[in-house]
Amino acid sequence: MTNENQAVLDVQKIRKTYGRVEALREIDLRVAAGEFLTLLGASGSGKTTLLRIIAGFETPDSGRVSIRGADMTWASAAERQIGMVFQNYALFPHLTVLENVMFPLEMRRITRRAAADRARAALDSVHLGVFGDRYPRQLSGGQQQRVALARAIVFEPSLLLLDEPFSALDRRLRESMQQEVKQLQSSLGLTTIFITHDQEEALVMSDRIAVIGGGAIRQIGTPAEIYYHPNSISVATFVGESNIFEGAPKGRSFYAASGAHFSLAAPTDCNRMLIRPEAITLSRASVPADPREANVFAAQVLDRSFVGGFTVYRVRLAQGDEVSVRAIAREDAIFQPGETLQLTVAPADCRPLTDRSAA
Amino acid sequence: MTGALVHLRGPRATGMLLTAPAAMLLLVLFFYPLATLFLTTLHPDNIENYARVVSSGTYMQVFLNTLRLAVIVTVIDLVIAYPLAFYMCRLTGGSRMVAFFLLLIPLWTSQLVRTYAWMVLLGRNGPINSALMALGLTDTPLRLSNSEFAVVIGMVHILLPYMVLPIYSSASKIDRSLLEASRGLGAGAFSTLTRVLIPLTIHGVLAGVSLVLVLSLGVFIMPALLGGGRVPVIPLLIEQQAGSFLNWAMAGTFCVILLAMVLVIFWLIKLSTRLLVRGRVHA
Repeated sequence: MTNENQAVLDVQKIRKTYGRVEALREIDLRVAAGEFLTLLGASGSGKTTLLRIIAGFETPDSGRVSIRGADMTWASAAERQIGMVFQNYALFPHLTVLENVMFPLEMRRITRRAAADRARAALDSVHLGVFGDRYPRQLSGGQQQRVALARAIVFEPSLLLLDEPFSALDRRLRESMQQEVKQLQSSLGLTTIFITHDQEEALVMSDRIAVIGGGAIRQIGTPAEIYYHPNSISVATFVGESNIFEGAPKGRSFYAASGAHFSLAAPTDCNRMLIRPEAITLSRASVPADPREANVFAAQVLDRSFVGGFTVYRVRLAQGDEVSVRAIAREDAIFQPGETLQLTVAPADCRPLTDRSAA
Repeated sequence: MTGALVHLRGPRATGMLLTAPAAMLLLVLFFYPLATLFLTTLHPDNIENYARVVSSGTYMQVFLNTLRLAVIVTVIDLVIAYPLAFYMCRLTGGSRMVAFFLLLIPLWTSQLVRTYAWMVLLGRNGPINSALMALGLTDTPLRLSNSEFAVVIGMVHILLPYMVLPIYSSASKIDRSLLEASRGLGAGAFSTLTRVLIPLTIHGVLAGVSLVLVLSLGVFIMPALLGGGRVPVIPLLIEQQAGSFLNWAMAGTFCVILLAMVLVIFWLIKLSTRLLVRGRVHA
């Protein structure tokens, strides 16, 4: 019966407007079984609207939402078999932790005893087995988060939705929860859609990332694709740090507006180019280099900030472009503001931005 | 000495100081007359009034009727107020102001004025009867006024805010994502109501129920003006004893029994709160 190619979730041509505001333009999205997909976008990008349409809390103006091949566009949230973890957890304050987790099972007319057993197992899987008799308000934020997760997975949903679940947690707790959720997700093979505005979180957790902006999916791909081959300035600047050059392509060359010339790994016709700050090397020695192997510039250090594991330099090329550089912070290779250095960047790290429609 | 001074500081002492004027007022104007009344009914000359009331089928009938009327009014108010309170929670800005204004205006208007308004509305030639006849639903005017029906309508109207406000107060604290969570976890509208909404608003419901129940036990104007003598309730008996028969002792006896009823109701509601809101830490 099950088709390997069949997507668990298939969203087709979804549009949604609020008054005159176009929240979603025309969203197409397919999520495969067992996949962890992240919707990454700033607030107001439309990612929450899309999630709420998938969950059944909003209806689209047009388009179709199918879950496991069945049209669910107009089905109520209760019919969709979707487990959701809300940003504020949304635990029922009048029920104990165990009763919270039993709730979806009881709604499915599972006997109280069986529901309690399954709820206990789910609580064990998030390491909260001993907290069953407490009330949510007696737990810490991280613990409430786990309860919400247990409640969302206990009924074996077709799809798990996580709406910025870690935004209220402090950094350390957030990182351990990210790992834990990721482990649980892959061990249970849960098809998961995760919402966040935190690009680092998206890169760490996802099988695929859909970058959303202005009510449309800007780019969709694996974290590496998104990071190394962003198609537009908006994606490049949203995910990771970037140096953007505008200019004119000519075969395997790119002439920045300042006149700086870069060799590229392949011919392009794009007039924008990205160089990641960590792809750039600074050195005191002036080593003659083959322009086909490396782009070499003279650059002056403007300022630097020490961030522990690495140092961020702001430098100015002889041609005038300001560039940000991330260098591994070796104590014997710290450059002073005012120093003139040699800057090298490999042609393969000069990445044309293919999408010209989006800035 | 210093120990005593230290003892008087702190939030507790501050609280006592701040409530002192109100407490004094209540003590002098409320508790003192009430105590005097109570003592009067216990006087050897009057004590047998209690036996007279309890053994009298007629009086007991009036007590039961008062209670029955109060329960009817409370139930109707609850049914109206519950959805209304939730509706008001969903309003924002100007429309919420308007809703509150409409709800609270009756509280600022004299009960007497509102009761007369109902007399006009429900009267033989009032707008309701005229409308019914114009629509051909009835040939002769219905006797809407001077009936228990009229009294119930009047009381439901006047006491409605006392039910809406506490329910609104607890409903407005419910996070909307809880309702979405409930739906998303597979609960239908009915289960969401019984398993999530009602438990989360039970404090407001019980507060509203006790207010309306107790207030409707003591309502005088509506049974007097809208009941047309057909709706016997305790406040009417008290007025009759004190006003017409000048039998203050008997009026006092009715008062004490009514007060006892109110206290029993409060106690029952408190008990049921404890049962219904089991285990939950009180905010």
